[in-house]
Amino acid sequence: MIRALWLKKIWRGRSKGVSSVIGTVFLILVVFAISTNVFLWTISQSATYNQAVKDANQKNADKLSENVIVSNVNYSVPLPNRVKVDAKLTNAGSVSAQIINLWVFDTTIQRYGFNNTMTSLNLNPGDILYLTGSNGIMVTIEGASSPDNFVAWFVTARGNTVALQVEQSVIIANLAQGIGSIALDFNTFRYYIYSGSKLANYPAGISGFNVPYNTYIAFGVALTNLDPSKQTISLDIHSQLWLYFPTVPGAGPFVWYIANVAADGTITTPPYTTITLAYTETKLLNFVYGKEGDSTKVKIDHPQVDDKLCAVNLLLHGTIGTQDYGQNIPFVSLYVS
Amino acid sequence: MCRRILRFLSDKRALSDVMSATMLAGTVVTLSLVVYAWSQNMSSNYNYQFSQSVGVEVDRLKEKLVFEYVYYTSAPKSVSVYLLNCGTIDNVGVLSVYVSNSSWLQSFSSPSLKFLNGTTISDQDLDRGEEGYIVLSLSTSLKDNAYYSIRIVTVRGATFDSSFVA
Repeated sequence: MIRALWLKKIWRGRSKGVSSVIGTVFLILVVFAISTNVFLWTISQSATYNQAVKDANQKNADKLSENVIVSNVNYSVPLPNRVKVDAKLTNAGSVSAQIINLWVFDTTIQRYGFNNTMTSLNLNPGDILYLTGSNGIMVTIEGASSPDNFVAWFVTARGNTVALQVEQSVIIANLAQGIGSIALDFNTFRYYIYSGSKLANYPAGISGFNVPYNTYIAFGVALTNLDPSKQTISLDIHSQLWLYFPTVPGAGPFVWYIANVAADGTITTPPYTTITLAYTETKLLNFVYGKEGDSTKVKIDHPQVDDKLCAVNLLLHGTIGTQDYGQNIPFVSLYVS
Repeated sequence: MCRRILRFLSDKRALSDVMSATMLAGTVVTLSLVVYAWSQNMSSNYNYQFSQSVGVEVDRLKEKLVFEYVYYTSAPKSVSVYLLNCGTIDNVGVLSVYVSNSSWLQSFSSPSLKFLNGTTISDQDLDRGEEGYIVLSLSTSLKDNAYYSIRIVTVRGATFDSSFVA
């Protein structure tokens, strides 16, 4: 209707104010279009920024929720310039965690090293990861040695650092009644019977504290170096396991000397190659033959020792660091039948 | 109707009024279009600048550098700063670094970034998850057991602070 009046006005030659109307309409349209455009664009940019802020906050919240606990920490230097870190990792947080780096600082020589080539160190909430034994993490520090003191920390992918705390380097009770530098694992004491020139069922052997009478046997014991001075222990050929029967005077002692045994149970001694135990390292040591440098098998065959209990001692000899070393580990008893 | 149109065309009276009205309307329309185009251009520029600044802010928010380790050696006098990009954006470059305490400050611009294995990072930035380090050669020795601050300013303008004991 308005448009019709407006056209009729022009048709009749009375066009005063038409341009003003057109100009006003255009002006309103322009202002509206531009302001709408700017407004919507500002809204979208604001939304983008808000999203980025939310993402950053979420990331910070995840980082705060990350809680990896490291316990049972132990440092050792099994190889020159190579520090081995054993630890137990527990993800006590509510988010998964990824370990990407381990830093170790040798406070004694003021040098540091790191290992960022670890793989699969991912922990879901509640996961426990044992980085011990062959899974221990090696870090190269030039000049590091066992007696040095270390501090270390893990770095997670979220950027948190988790310090490793050593509760106590050696618990005296771990040692053989607080004496000496090597601990014997009583629970894994075992003996072997022969299968030709091999030890049968090696390395598991036959676990327990009852050994057969009048049968050629050898022994396996798991020893751990817990030397408080953190030095490597080397055991020489004189090291032996011997047993005697307190109730049968004159029976024995029976002796088995330390020997090298291959992974398949093959006895490779003689000759004997010195066995070394780095600090905190556990090794299965085998006591096989009855004479040094010989391959004489031993059996408990004294006529009066059948169905008798005997005492077992480990006589260890060698070096600890550069010093001489000797230790007698008692407290195992065996029933012969 | 046809006659009326002919009469309208042949009628010279008030022709100048029609012409002027048409020309005025045309001028107004043309000017309006020009104003619209100019306004559109201005708003586009504004939008572009705004989006650029928002983008920069968002990128800066996504940056996250973590100090894995800061180590000072007195011989040579240097501070090694080990960094991890744990943010959500690539290409985090280090523009400048400031080492200071309450009475002293030294700045470093565009220090050389290296991977942890010692090789120089070719693009001089850290992508997501990458670790790298910079070595800052100091002009003076730091006091033993004194507490120092370190600030890293990235190319995007984000700042990250840490501290160390010399």
